[in-house]
Amino acid sequence: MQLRIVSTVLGMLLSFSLLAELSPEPIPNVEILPKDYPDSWIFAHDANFASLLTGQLVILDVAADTKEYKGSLDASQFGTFIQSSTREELYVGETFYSRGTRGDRTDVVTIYDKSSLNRIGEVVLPGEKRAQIVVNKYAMQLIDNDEYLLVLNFTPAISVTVIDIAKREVLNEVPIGGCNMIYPSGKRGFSSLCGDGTIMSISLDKKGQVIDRTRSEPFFNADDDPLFDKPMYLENIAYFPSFKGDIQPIDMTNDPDILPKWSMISEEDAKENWRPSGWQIISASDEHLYVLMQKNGNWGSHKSGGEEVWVFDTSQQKRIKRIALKNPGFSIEVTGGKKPLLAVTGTDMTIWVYDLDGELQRNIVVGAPSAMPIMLNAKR
Amino acid sequence: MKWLDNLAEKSTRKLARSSGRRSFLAKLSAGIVGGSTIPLLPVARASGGGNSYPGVGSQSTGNLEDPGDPTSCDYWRYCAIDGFICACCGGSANSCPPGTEMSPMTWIGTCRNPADGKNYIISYNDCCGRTSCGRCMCNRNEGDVPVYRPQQNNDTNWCLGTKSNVYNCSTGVVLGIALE
Repeated sequence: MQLRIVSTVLGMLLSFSLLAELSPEPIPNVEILPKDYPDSWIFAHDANFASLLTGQLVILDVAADTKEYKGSLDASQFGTFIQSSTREELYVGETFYSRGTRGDRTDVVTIYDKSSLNRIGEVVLPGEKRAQIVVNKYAMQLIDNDEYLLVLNFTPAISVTVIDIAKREVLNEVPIGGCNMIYPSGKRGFSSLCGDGTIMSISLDKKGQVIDRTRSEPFFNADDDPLFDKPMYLENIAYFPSFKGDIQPIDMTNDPDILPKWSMISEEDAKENWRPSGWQIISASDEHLYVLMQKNGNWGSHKSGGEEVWVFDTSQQKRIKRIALKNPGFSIEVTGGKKPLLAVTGTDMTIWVYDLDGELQRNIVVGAPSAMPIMLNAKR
Repeated sequence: MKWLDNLAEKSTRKLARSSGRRSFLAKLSAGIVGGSTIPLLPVARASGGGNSYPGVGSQSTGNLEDPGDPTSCDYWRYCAIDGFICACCGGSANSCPPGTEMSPMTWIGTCRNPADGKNYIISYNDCCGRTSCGRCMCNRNEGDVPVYRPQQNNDTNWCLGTKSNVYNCSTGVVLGIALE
């Protein structure tokens, strides 16, 4: 026994002597991110309703079980967000007051370097009119190979500010009365859904001036079965779900081409009153649409969230899979790359990550208990 | 204020409760009943006293012609409200908390007063210029239409036309009897 103790102590002394001493560590020491993010990274947009002045975007690796939290950006007062796919830049639309909640108002697009997450520039927006809408990707969009940034305004007159983002220069303001949101369309332009069930389309020249403006015939009924205002683009086709469960595809290659709509709801599904529901309810991988669905839905339940994600093949216009969520979902996003993942903001406001077979992989907390990461942005 | 809809729904409440996960949402939404954002939609609400918000003292209008608890989401005139109830935040059903500014722009609803059975036009003016009150969240999405119908949409910050558009809470002001 004594011999064993002595040998253990000797062994410990021997191993201690082999360990190098710790070297002094540098201060300051700030992390940087890669210029090209892995496909499994997302930006979770926390609107922070408890304190709108301190909304934020949190960068998460949804494929990671360690070091899954990568960093964050501020997004003040109903902020908007988009990533450039051609520059190593991130854009955040924000509103500030000179004395916090009061004072002089400044609307601004803040430009971040994707690697350092340092602020590298800004474009001050004129007119104190930047739209303040609960997190919506289509309140700020990039068009024409990401050369122009479009920012939505609401006073409640509705317009779109056109910015040459390379020059950091505001070019124009385009009124879109009766219509709302920015859906990229054409070579250099955008479309907006209108309250009368039509879609307006604007084409711009290189100086941001309007060269063409068209308006479709009515194709949806905002009283009977409204289209959700957050579609999913696959190539140039925007897929808009409707409250009652149709998919309305619109080809945005040129002026909007309203393609035939199709239903996600079979007769059997209709008996159980399945409907799309949640905040960001549609995403995609390859030719497959992922849609957050709610059982026993009704008029007014369109933002409640749902207990399943249904997968549809766009060419067959047919459901090919049902994914039962472990925890009800409020928003969804599918990441890109070779091993896509389904990220779901639960109604508990944490992120639940599934593989595309529907197996739960992990759960990620975004921030404080009051965090509300209701919009997820996959790498663009 | 019309953006807190994600906290609100009956179904969300059901989902959040059944989830058994982080409880703040369930707790917060447990008291949410809310109303419709569609004008001229007659919605009768329970008018009993008391609210379902933990740590929020009950109130009473003390007026038989205006029955109910102004801190309760069930209060009849909140049938189309969406946001933090000002009566819980230092204001009342028809006034803003001290130091805030009442938004002149608003959305309206039509609510039935259980006392006289008449429909009243209610103006949901926001109170602006202080950070979110955070008490008594009350919201419902019946009649809510996406942002291409702004007047029927509750995702929009209606603190417009005020010195600051920072949102604090929402009131429900009686404008008059609704004409049938």
